[in-house]
Amino acid sequence: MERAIIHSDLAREAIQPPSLLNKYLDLLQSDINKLLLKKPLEDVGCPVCGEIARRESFQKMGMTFNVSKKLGNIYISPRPSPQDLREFYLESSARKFWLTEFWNNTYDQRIAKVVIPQLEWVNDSIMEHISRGPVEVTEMLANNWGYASLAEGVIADARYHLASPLVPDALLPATLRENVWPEGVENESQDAVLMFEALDRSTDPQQTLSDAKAALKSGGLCFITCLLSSGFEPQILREESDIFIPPERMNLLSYEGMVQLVEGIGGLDIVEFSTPGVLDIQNVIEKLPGRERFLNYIFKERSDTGVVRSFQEFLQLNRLATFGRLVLKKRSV
Amino acid sequence: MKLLKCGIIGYGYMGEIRRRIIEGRPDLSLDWICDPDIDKIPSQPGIQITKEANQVIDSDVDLVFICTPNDLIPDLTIKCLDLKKHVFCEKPPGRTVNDVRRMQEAEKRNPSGKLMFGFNHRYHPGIMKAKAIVDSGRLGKILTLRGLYGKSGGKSFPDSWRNDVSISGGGILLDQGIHMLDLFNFFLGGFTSVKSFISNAHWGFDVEDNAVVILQTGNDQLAMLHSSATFWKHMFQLTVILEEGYLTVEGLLSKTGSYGRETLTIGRRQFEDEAEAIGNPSEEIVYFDRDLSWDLEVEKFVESIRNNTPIVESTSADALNVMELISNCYKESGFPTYVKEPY
Repeated sequence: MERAIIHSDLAREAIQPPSLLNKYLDLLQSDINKLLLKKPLEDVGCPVCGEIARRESFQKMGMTFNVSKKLGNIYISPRPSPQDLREFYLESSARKFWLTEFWNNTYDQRIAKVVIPQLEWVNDSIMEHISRGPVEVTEMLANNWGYASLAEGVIADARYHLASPLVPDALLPATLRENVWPEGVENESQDAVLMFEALDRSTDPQQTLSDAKAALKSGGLCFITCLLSSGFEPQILREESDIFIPPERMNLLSYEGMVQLVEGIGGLDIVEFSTPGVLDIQNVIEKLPGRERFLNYIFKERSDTGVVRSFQEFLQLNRLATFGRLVLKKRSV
Repeated sequence: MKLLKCGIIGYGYMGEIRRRIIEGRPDLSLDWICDPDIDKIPSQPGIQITKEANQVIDSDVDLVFICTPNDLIPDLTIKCLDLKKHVFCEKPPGRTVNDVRRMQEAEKRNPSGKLMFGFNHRYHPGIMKAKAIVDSGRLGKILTLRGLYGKSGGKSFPDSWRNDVSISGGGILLDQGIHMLDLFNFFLGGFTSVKSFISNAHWGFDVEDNAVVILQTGNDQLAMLHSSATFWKHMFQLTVILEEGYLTVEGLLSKTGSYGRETLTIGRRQFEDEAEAIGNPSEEIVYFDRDLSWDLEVEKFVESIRNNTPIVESTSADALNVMELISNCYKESGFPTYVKEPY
């Protein structure tokens, strides 16, 4: 299976300015208290294998993250029901803030450094693996419209749909409303299904991936981006890492967990599994514990950008960075 | 689904690969293998082994893989087509342009037979992804191509039949450079001008050990190839320069891994300021782990037979185009070739 290494000058501050992030987190904490913690939560096991045994657990914003024993997946349990989670996304003032203030203030950087490159990745793979011509593309469980607003301009000859988006109707741009499929997708109708961090926020990743597979035509492609628990940042920082934001990060699967999830669903071949993340070291340096003597030495004392770049490249090459992306191909019957 | 019966003529490096591919497909059966040295062919129930190519050609096989040295390719291919067999023919497609024309004539008089040539580099993962990106148009039009393709030579290299011009028809350019020139045609669609320098200065065989070729299309797109038997390491590198970026396929997945890991580097033109452009532009490097090129080309071939649709890639027209290009390289350089075109 393919793997990609990306050299990018993406900086965290550019897409998550501290002032906006802090305000978002304040609003989010209030919403979690009001909209999630007051409702019944359900205990669940590992989102891939159902195992209950855990290596450890830690708290973030009032919710419990657990590390599964066998696969090292990190997941929220107890967790909200799918219906409560949907209501959260539609009613949350934090999400409204993100979709308006946060999005507008980071728009240029997000479009240039995140959205367009990911859509180009999708387009390249469609061009490579699917016959040229009109393609039906659906984004599942979208929590913003960044990709949808630009997709038809980047993906050649695409008809782009949003299936069950986690976005309030009132905030969705009018031009995109007719592309929304609130009830999901017809089976075997799509050339490509896109899940940008959708498995991370799903209450049931197995069901979500099964739905994606069902929606695909034979030979169709499923694109996944995700954060991985096996990545450098959560491995070094664990609960000190800022990536554990509930309920958005409901599940962070490990590399092994993601492979097992795909193999467990069956009928999907992994064409690409890359971890082209570029933020691991930036994020780790900020909060690096003193006990990590070697990492403190190479990232802080050595002060050599070449070493840092080469270390991030090592992480990417060996699928050890935190941001992951996959291309799955539905087997022909 | 009816099993298609297959025969392999020539059981060297390529014959072995074709056997593996045939045996890996449930819709093909391998019935015959032919080679002058039958002792090297591992026997297996159901597979008949012979020294006589005619035994394969006259049998009831549906398709034949021609994996012989270059001088035998045209006549064997023509015989197979005239007996209504489908033919998958390794590169190079004979020794001369006229060899290809003769095969095309046989193809025309036997329209039910499919004829495909083994330009498998088109199906290497790095090339397929690069072609998809070029076709997407996101990096603009192609300006130039640059190809390096070469071998290290080795202990047995001087004794290879490939260096006997009466058998091979040419040296490294015809044997290996043909793949890169086929890729040039694949990306740019053909050339109108050819300049070349061809030499046998190091090994001193009748065939060339180095060729430097410069090409131009009617749209002023340029391409440059260095094909070499003196690189001292196996090397493959194809760079496509486009208006808005560049693509480099480097290394080739192979049985031995001697060409290095296959990668595709995707770079985007970022800077207008010449001083800043010296730095590291934003690049994506894709690493590939599996070479399915042999499987994919046979898949296309079998699909075409099953569906009775025309061969659309690695066709006899592609073979003719690349052999004409090579012939023009030889002519332009003045390098003496033993095998003369009869026209």
